[in-house]
Amino acid sequence: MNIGEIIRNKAPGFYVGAAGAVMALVTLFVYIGMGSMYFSALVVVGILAGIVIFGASALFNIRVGLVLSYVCYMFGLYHFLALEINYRMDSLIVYGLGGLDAIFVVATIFYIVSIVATIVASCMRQTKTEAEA
Amino acid sequence: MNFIIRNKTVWSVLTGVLAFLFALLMVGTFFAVSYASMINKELGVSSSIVVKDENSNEDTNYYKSKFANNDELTKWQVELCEQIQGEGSVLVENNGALPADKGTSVTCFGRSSADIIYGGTGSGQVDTANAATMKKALIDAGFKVNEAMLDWYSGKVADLKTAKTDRSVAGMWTEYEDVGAATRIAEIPAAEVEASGVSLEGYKEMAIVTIGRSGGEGADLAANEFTDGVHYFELQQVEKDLLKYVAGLGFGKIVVLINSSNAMALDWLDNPEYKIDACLWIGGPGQYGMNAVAKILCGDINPSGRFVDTYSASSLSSPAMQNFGGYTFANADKENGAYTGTIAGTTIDGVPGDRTAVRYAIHYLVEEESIYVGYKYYETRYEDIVLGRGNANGDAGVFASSGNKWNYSEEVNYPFGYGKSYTTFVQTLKGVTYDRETDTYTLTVNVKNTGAKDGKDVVQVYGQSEYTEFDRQNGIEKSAVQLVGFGKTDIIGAGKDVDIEVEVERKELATYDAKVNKTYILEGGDYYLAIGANSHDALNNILAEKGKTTVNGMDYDGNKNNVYKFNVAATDTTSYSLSKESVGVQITNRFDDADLNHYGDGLVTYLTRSDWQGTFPTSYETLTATKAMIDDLQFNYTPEAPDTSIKTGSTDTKYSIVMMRGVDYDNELWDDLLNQLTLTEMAEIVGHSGYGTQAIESINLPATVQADGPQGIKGQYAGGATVAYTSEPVMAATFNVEILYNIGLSMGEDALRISSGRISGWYGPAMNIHRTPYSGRNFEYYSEDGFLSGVMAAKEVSAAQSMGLCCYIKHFALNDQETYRQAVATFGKEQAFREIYLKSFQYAVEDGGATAVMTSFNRIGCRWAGAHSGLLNDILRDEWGFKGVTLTDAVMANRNWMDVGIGIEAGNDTWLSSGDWLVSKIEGWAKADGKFMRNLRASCKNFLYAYVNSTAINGMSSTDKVVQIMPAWEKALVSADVIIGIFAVAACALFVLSTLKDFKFGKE
Repeated sequence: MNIGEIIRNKAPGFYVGAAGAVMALVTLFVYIGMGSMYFSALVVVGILAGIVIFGASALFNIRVGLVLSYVCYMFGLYHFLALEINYRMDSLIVYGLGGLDAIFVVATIFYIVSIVATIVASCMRQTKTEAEA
Repeated sequence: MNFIIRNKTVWSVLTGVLAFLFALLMVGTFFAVSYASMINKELGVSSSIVVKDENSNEDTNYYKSKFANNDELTKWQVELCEQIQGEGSVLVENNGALPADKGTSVTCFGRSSADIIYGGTGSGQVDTANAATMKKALIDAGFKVNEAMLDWYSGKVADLKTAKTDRSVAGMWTEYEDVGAATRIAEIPAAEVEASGVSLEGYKEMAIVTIGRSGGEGADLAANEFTDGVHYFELQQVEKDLLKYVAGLGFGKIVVLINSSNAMALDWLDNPEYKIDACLWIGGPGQYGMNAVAKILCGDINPSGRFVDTYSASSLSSPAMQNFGGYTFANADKENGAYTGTIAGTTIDGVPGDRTAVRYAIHYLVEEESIYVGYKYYETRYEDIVLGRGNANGDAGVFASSGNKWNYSEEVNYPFGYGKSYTTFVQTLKGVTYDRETDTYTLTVNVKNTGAKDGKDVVQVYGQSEYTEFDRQNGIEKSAVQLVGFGKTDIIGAGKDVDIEVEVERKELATYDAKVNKTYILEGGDYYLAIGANSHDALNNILAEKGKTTVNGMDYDGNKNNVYKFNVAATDTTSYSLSKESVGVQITNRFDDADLNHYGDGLVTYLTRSDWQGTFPTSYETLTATKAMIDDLQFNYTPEAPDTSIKTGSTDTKYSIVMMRGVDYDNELWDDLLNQLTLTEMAEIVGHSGYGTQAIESINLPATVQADGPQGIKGQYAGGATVAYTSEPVMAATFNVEILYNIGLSMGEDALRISSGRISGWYGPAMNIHRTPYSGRNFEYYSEDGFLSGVMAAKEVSAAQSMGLCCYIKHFALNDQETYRQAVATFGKEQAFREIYLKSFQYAVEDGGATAVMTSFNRIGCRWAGAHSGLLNDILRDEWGFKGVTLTDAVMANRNWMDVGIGIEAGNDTWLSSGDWLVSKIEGWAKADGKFMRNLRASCKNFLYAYVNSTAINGMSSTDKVVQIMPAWEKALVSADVIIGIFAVAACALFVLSTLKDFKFGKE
């Protein structure tokens, strides 16, 4: 398997997806760094699964695999928000969105960006055409 | 068709968008379903319906309105609101300026004139969008009002709001160190008023200057130096300048309104620079109170309110103020400059690992002042000066006295119970009888209206028990005077008189002896019952009976004829040592471990009148948590093996909860009913009782609503049709129990208005103590005096309960400051707890018949109040005979110190959780822990007992059925989930198909 050749054949869609995966990885690090009392393994599983599936999709050229990738990210996002917002409900009720702590906001933004990037990537070509190659 | 299917781009975009939308919808649905009860309340819908048995002929209207229609009710309520303010406003000073004639031209000054503080913020606040304004109230009362000036002020207030520099108090989550910076009075400077260009011509007969101070839940008022070195409850420089400016304008008279529920320093009222002719305290007037204020000003109402707090010259001078605010254990751990929430390396159970950790384990408060709260301090120290004992006239505690000797007249502006009238009264004690059977004294007092105007008067009876050597040696403190009875006359015509009887229960003279007898005792010695115009006047009368005069340092000679003296031959240690509610229950110490000295002899020296100078409190700033304290801060809960003997979901019987209405708490039928509950239902009852309760189908209990707050049921919970009353201090200042009873009835009427909402629980009245002027929620509490608070609370509660409303009296107990209220470890003496802080609750339960209690956030000693068995089981249930439900204060997902296991073990039944995240956890705990399961069942019984005797079952017969339904909004949400989900899957399938088709055709 010639990785270099595989990479050379990749279209912008791959790079967008890769950016999404990188952002997902950063989100994971931020989430771990939050040290949340409601830390959930499901969030970690969702992110990691999404990244792995993206990698496999990119390697084996399965564009539709990106759908599974962002579905995994969304699975993790669901558990992330369900737990972490509940934990911040008192601040939200009193202060609205202004009551949220910065690290939570950052994690949420990163997470959503990673999902959006992967969705966008799924709408784009992943490999170059013969003409482009 | 092939083209459509092969269009990967379209399907990939659709898949992505729909999947994302679906994910967000799922998150939204999660929270919506979890907090469904709150949403249902906001929308005015229910999650259950009652299926009526048409064949039933039971009379199911258990609670009904006393009014023919809503208009009639509203009319009565408006009149009540005005009556509260009319009788609760306190005339502080008047040199004849009031009442003013109708038609008097008036100009109002002060931003509060255009922006009245109707109450406070937080859960006690009410919607006052339609509240009576100063302008309208004065016009309606017949004054000629300078509307241009009020409009100008309104504009300035609006500008301040736009600029976000308006009056404010610290919000609920303001860090303690930031409270000062978050507080603004925002008075408009006199220079701006002068430059406003508003003409005063034709409006110079009377100036009204309104001085306002606010308060709210979640944070106390700024107790540090505020602006210009002046404290919050003192007159600020900008206000002084305004008063001087107004004084220089040549008005015929100047009247000041004090728009503050918290006691302010009023030593400036007689400042000649301000030329103040009259002052009226109006507290927080609520929705219609300003109408009454205007009527007072024109004489349509003769004010008869009395101060419910001591107005000291310095708001910092009370002993309690020396230990007020935020204190952190000296050995609380820090990391990188921030508290970690651990103490000496130990993680305290229930502490979350988040930025709010500092609130939940590491704070404490030492109530060094013992019983000397409010007037009990000032009057007792005054008496000791006159009697020449206890080095009372030393310099310890001097704040306003000139020189270095404590001087009552300089330290106190206005005593507790003070208030003037447009007329004058003379009270004469005609006689006292004692009924041995009821153990009650009856004082007959003649009240003569010696003035020219009709009016009402308040008879206040104060008691004194001798401070003995036994007391000195055993740490028992005695207040020189304590309010033990009161009554309000009807309107007495000018020149007329009336006899009024005031009953005083002898038990009010008993003292709590925590050291020797560990119960209430009535000591041998002399006792005094005295009437007086206020607490100080009554004390002067007692001192006169003791032969003291101004020669001995009294500020004026008292009247010994208004004193009844009697002697108790020998100390009685038994008559008051047993519960009057529960046969055979001994009243004994329950708070030994809340006394800081429990953790080490001499850790704290409480204030004692035997040595004012040596024991006046200093701020207890460096308490190191001992190992024993750290151990006691933990849950210390031991689970037991699962108990499979407890039945759940039984169908052996099919009782309806309605059948249990009026059934004795100990009747065996309750066991059968409880067996019908499923575990999930039990968990819902206990763990999901925030602002409402869920429908319980197995016993046909419909879903109910619980509403805030002490000033009135919050409009949004009852469809906006309810009335906002005055702040609680104004209610208490009426000294009129009939008014409080009517307030309770009105709360019940408001709850009945919205039958679909089934409002069965009310988070009120609140009855903590005004321990200091700076507590943010003083507007929600009655007074600094436990007896006055208790008598008023009992009336309000009994009335509301007669209308089927479960009154969650709050906050039980010792939640007397907002700073670090969540889990602050509060230390103090049992005598003070029983005689002051618990007294209001005791009256509300024993006399008012309260069937619901809200426990507080704070710890008592090291134990969270909601897990304090001594408080909830021993005192509340055993001693006071309480039968009903207890509820925590608001629970959120991170408030883990309010643990369910330790709570239900100690007698805390339900959790104020609007979301349902506790339900599945409770089920799991119950299955694994037999003790938990048994306690869960007991809690359910307490809840059901309270609610079956409430409007929860109003209109239901014993054969009606309750069916849970999905409200329309929930159906719409679930439908949206399903539809979007199906579309997302379909789009994905087509995306996959298009990809496969490409492969088939040799494409990518």
